[in-house]
Amino acid sequence: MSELGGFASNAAGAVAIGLLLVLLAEHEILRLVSSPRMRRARSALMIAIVPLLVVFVLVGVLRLADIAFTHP
Amino acid sequence: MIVSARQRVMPWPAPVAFMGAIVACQVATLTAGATAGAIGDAVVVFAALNVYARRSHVRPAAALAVLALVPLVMLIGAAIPGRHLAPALRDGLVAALLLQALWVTAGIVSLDWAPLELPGRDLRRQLRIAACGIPLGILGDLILAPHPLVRAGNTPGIIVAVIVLGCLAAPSLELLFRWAVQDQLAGLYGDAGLVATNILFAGLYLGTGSAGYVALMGATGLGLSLAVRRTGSVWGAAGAHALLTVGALVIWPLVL
Repeated sequence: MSELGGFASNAAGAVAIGLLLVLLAEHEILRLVSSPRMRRARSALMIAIVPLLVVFVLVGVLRLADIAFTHP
Repeated sequence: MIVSARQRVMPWPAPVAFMGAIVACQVATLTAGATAGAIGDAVVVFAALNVYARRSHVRPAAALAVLALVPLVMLIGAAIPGRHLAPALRDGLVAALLLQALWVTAGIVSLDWAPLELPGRDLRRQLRIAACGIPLGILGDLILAPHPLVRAGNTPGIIVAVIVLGCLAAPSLELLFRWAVQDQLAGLYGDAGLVATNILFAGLYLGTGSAGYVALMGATGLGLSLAVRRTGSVWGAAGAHALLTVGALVIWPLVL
């Protein structure tokens, strides 16, 4: 039981990383179009990109720790 | 091209449709599993941010950027591996990421910062609102009967859990719902916006598997929404939520 994140699952990490990749790709595509509206669109995508990037790093570090410290 | 005022207003069902999608994801998480819920959350986040990005010039679109934070926090909460971190630390991490996203969103959609100002002469009323969290915490413990988040005797663990849940997790949810979401939805739909805000808020607690606790949090949220609207400050609500959460998950399971 916890206040936030009571449904933790391994697959959700993959879904989060998938969403991060899609948003990063869209962010880079929008960079090619330099208009004030596209700049606003890119900043809106940053709402989700930064937290998902932190989740990506955390999931990666914890998975590496799993691999490194799990005895065969 | 001249755009008339009528054209600049997004069709009213858009925020409602996204609210329905968020609730559907919350129900899907409960009925079809965490993976189905996470996929739904990811789709809603992507769609809400893109619709906002393309129609940010119309006022109701700002609600979509704020609404995207609800499935985003659910997705982040589900994605962070639970077996590596203590529940309180994971909650703290999710809350910190939520606050960061909320900060970015507030800058983009120009949220009203007035409810976040420290209460001056209104301090006593805010303390009274916060104190409501104590009996609500006892009620929550009686309804939920959770295992203590930290074992008895683990004093450092209890202190960390109290600080993380009380100062970070609970206030971050209050800022999300009682400040950002309520500000947008009440601005669009009036009193119905308050109800909608707290349907989304109660949906966060479907993971507890307790209908009573979900109802308690929904009713508490509605009461806190009314308090925030009446007093114009979110501090009392944040204090009440902190006392409720810390009481129900950490203190009362050890004491009662």
